[in-house]
Amino acid sequence: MITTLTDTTASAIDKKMIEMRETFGANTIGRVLTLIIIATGDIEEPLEAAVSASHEHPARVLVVDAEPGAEESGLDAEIRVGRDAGAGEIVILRARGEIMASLDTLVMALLLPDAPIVTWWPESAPSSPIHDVLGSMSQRRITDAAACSGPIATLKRLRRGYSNGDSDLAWSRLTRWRGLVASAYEVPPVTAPKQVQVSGSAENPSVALMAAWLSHSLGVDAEIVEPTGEASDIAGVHGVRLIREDGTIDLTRVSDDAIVLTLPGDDSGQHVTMPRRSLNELLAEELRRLDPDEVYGEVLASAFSGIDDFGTYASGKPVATDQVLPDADAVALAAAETAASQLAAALAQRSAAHLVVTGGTVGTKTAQALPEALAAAGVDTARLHIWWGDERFVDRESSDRNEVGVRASLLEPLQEAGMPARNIHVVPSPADGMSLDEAAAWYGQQLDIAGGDEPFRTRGRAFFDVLMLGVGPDGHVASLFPEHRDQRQVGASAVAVTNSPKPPAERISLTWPVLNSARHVALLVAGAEKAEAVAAAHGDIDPWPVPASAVRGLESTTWFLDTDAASQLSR
Amino acid sequence: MTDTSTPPAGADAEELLNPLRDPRDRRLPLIAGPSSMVMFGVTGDLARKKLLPAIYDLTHRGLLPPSFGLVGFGRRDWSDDDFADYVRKSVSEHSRTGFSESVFEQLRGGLRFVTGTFDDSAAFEKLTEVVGELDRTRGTGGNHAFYLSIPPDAFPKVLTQLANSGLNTPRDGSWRRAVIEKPFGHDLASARELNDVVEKVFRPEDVFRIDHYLGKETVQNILALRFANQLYEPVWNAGYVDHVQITMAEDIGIGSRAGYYDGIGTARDVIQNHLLQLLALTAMEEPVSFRASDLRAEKEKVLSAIELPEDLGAHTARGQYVGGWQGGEEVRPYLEEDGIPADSTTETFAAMRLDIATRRWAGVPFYLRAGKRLGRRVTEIALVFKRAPFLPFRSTDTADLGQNAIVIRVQPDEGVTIRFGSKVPGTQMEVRDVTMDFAYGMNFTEESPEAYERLILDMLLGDPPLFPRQKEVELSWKILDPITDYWAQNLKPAPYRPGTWGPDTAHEMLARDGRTWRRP
Repeated sequence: MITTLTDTTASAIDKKMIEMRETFGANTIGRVLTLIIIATGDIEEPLEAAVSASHEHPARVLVVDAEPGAEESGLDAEIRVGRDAGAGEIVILRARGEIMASLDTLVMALLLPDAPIVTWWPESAPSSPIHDVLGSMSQRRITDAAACSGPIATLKRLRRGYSNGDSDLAWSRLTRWRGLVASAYEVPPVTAPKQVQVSGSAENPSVALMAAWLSHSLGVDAEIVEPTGEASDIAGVHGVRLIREDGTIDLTRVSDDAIVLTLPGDDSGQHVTMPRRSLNELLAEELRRLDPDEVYGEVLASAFSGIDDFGTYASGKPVATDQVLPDADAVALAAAETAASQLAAALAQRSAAHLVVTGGTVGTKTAQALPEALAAAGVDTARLHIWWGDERFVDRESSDRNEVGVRASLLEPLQEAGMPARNIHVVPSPADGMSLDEAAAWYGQQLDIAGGDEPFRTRGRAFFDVLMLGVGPDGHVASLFPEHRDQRQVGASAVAVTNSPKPPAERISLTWPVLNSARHVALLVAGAEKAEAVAAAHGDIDPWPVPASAVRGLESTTWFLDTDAASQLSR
Repeated sequence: MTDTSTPPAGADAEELLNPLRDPRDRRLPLIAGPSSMVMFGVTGDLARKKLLPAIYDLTHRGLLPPSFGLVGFGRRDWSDDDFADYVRKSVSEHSRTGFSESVFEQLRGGLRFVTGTFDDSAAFEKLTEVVGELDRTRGTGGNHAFYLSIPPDAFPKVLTQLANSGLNTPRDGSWRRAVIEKPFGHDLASARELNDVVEKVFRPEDVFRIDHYLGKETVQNILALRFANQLYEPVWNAGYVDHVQITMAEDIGIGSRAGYYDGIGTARDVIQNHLLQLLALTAMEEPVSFRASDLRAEKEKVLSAIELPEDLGAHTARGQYVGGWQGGEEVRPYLEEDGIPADSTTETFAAMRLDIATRRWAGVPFYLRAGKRLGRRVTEIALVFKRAPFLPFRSTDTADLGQNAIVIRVQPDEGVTIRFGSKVPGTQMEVRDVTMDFAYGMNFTEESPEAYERLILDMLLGDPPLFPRQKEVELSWKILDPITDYWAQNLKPAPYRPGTWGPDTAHEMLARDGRTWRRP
């Protein structure tokens, strides 16, 4: 049966479920796990797979069908039990607006006590499932690169964000193929193949994983060969060839149901049934084991090279230019006016614009100059979002907070000019009831929800329109300090920084991939004490010793300098 | 589970070195290596209804190698095509996973038939040729299993022929295995005789005794329940357990098995193997590992510690069903079933008390019962606990409180039930028995593989833990022989109505100990 609740809460849903159980008789089968489905498109297909898999793994299924951009915040729910839910029970949560800021508390009341949690993104995989607000609660995180736009790019992002417990349906689609290849390898006389070929589209994530698995296990580079002619219609892995001394073992898919196996010295070919696997089967396989799939982790890691040099995020973009001005006030004014016109241009093309502000002397002066500059440029502040590049994790009212420094001069005037409070994305303070790590994770998740996380980790894509940064005398930007271990964290969008060389010691900072996800970057510097750092940052991109050298905008990067700060530039 | 901890003992060295089989890769299906199976008795009921469908289902699940060959041997004058038609008919009627032309086509390529009788040497020469041809054209690699789905009295002939034609001898790096079905004899002497015949031709480790009961998921689940949990083991002993009841009940009669069943009876048919195996799994100590040899060591230990009651008349029961209405259907008495002599004294119900002389179980009787035409189809193991030593309630408060129990349901509806006392809501204080159930959903296609699929696959993989060895078989007969001897001399089966839980003598047998049978 199906029950619908409108404008409800998690606790009301929980209560309703207990009531339904009492009224309509207990379904006494024990549930073994909670499956959370993050829906972005059609929910019925994944639900059908979940219902089918629930016969093997009785589960409570929570479907989060979210609309973060909605004007009104609210929650509707649909509870399905009995015949409509297979051997499980289903709750569909339709969450709108600001509810998304605390997605974890939305599902918390509905999780089965103690039972493992599995989160599944049937489409739109997050770049780093473990850093997702729900993924971080889960033992198992299932993505499907093939269902995302840009499957290979998605797989690459998943590789960078990989953590034990992740898995992808592109990998489970290979299970029977892999079993068959493993047994083909055992055809006597067993010898190691000297050459291995995988035929299939290089754009298919399963093909990439198959080649990586074979290369990784056999120590022979598996070559991906594009199938030709009719065969090119067949999606996924089309064939595998193990080329040995005594001949070639060839496995080729001939239809959606079958494969033909050809052995050395036998041209007739053996017919092997191997139907394509349905979503139900894939999900059931995923739920069978909830411990980390280490082999998948290794294969994924070997499929693509990693980024060891964080400078990569900044490279390949237009070179930085300088604007040298007489003093700090002139720097602030110029930066504000430039930002205002860039934001106006952004809003002319898109429904929202995102501005990252910064603290420090020049940063605060720039913020003061912004309301007037934005008004002059005709920026619709209702569509403007404000973010912070970093924040100190101190008391909410402390003057150490960047946010406090711009509250009266920037935030209040903007709100008066029509900016809704929810467009101001303040970094949490201890008063919000989170630890430093939780607060950093939360801020990163808010960014991921707003940006869909993909632009942050895809070259050539940007999320922010204007990103303003100050630069420290040591060359730090945001709270990424020279030769400080916390700048190495790039898995999440925001990182907790401890033991900062500059007090206060605890901070939250955006990470390299996110700082490098802006169209326009403005570096605001004044004062002779920073001249050396400015000069160093004008050299090669090298984030470890000189963080300020490693942030670049997709369209422009501008140094707004006063003459003192520019004094050591060799020009 | 038993198949996870150790590499298959019989696996070839190069198989273990396959770099594509990472032991951590738990997704990768264990597919049998290149091999074929020669089946004697391929036209029998078991082959038609269970074995051929199991092989088809294994193929369907992608667990047999593409090269797999299946050779039928029989008297019929069949060509390979005739045999293929027969297999097709069998699997399309009985397969679990549904018939698919494509799957059958895969199987079809390896189907062969050899016509001959068991004493026809020329036919075995032909068989040798066919098997060699499979090795050459299909790549079965000299690995062949011989499935003897034939009456035990035909074993000597077939085995001698296999030995004469050299089919029992593997070449380098390959294997030859024999599969035999229960009954493994009808008493200790015949079991030994049978074994001598088999082990003269095949090495003991190459003989796989199929007891399809041990393929069941839940039997393995007993091992998981007992040895993966901290909760049960502390109470799994005479300090807490009052007694144990193991029941295997069928609601059907003997059907078409008259020829085999009469003269054998329930005790030899199922107690000797299935129930004693369940008892062993329930009562054994923790094995040091799930290696076949360690598991067997514990089962053998506990079987050898079993003691029979002194007064077999008082602590065993024997019954035979009469005719009447059972659950809306009129059924014939045993004595009027087709092929049963009117004066048969074969039992269709057997019950017995066994004790285990170990520190863990001394004083805890194990009651075993099995029969045909009983109340419902069920197999379960119930551990019934002692009552709490003191109840701080008024006696009327706990009038409805029975003994706590843990029930392992083997089939159908596999799972675990725990029975305990709970307060009845709304009353002042009244405690009553309630049950808590756990069942894994088992109706999913990939899961709940038929026992035969699992056993055939394990046999082809050379993974022995589920297969009983000769020593266990002999120990079981040592337990059963004195009882069946006593029955033959002194105890005629008592009649019982079909659809009930056996004759009164069975109930009296427990009443003597101050206990009652659980209604499963």
